[in-house]
Amino acid sequence: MDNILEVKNLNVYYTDKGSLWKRKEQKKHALTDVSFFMKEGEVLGLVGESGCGKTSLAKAILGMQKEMEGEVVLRCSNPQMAFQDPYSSLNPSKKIGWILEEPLKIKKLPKEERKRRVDEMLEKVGLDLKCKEHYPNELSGGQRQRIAIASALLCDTKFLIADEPVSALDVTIQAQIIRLLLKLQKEMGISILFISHDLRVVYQMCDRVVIMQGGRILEQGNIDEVYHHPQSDYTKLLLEAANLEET
Amino acid sequence: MKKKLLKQPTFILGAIITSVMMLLTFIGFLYTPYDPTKMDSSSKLAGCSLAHLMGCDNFGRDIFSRVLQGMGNTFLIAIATVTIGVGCGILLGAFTGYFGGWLDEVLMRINDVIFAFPSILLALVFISIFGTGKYNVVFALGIAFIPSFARIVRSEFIKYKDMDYVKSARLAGVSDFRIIFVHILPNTTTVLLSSIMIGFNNAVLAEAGMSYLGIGVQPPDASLGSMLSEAQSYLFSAPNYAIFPGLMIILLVLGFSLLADSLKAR
Repeated sequence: MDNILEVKNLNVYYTDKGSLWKRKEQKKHALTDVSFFMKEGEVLGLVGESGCGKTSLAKAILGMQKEMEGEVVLRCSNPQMAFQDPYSSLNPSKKIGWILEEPLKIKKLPKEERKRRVDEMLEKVGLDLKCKEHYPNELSGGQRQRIAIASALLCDTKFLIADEPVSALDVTIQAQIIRLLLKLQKEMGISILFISHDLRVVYQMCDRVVIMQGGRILEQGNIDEVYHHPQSDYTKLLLEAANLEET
Repeated sequence: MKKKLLKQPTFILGAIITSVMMLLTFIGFLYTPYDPTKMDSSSKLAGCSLAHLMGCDNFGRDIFSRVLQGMGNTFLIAIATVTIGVGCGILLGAFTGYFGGWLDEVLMRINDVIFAFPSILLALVFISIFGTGKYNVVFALGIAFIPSFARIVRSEFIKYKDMDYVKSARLAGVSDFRIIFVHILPNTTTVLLSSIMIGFNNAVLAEAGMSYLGIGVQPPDASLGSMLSEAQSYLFSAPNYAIFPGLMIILLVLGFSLLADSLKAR
């Protein structure tokens, strides 16, 4: 199987340019020498504390990062992203039907085709067709996250970055969304880069895992290997904190 | 939480006042009891009577007819002014807020310069260059109104441009133009609507001020401001001459203020 994503020696900086009048350039490293790969159709977990560069990495992969060095090879034409906060990821002034049709409109699909695809996708993510007539603020967090996932997948992507998609939801809904993501991943053969700080969730979802701290990769490997034989102290600490012993 | 508009007393009161004023304005376009410019020396400065509901002015013209016509003029000037201000303000604010960078910096500093002038003073400068008249006043006030709207729209765009739904629209390949006008702009309507109402009030007052100074609507045509200006020499001999145009300005502004308040409170 091919690698869908290869990242080699990626460095990302943030430059503090000062104001218009005061030119002082300060470079801050967000990512240092990050290298990893992702196989097609796998779920890769990306774990680290907040501020360790997970989101910077996601942005770099999507080409939204301006200042970066190194190589990012993504063998997928339209990567998509599902965001952490289900409340800001849907446009509050549009109905769900409109939100879901928008990516298809951009591709200039005819109306019947758009409707058919939206209905199909709503069924896949387990939502009622009636919700097309609702505004986002009338739906619950879990429903919104399903819509967000549906709208990302309607772009016919093979690669999805899920940036902490369940950390804003309560535990029972978390489990539902995780099951949904896994089901869709198998059905549609997509690869998911699953960003999280929750080791339990990662253990349920992922085939392999990458552990990050302070913009560097500490450890990567198969999920069982990393969880049972952690190499770095930080990983051990994380595992201890997550209290995963019983699994 | 959204409150039902129809259950708010401010909204109901504002809507009633505004709709009565709109109705009067509309009637003024079609019908006035007397010709608003026809003079009649026999009824100079006549008081209120059944024949002349609001009395007559110093040339014997029917004040009620002139108020109806004046409201139409004032209303049109205010609408045109706000349209120019809002239209240019939205374009300017949307692009500077969304794209940012040096263009934003330059345009916003120019904006600040215009904003720093009192709008009446700025309009006076325009009038002194282009001459007096209805259309020049609209143009001048319109430009003076751009900065405040541009600021409001810009701050809204800065707030929304990094929202996740804008990011995912960008990832789906939606063009910047479409993101600005279809994805973000509808979200600014609540804020924009109430500031349009307030802007409309300011425009009514500014027009009245300009006409009061004698540089807006030219005689013999009437506007609420020019009528006030003509009435000031007769304040004691014929108070009704000044009271009715003034009352109309107050009601017009009050109605829209109440509407704006209830929209903002939502």
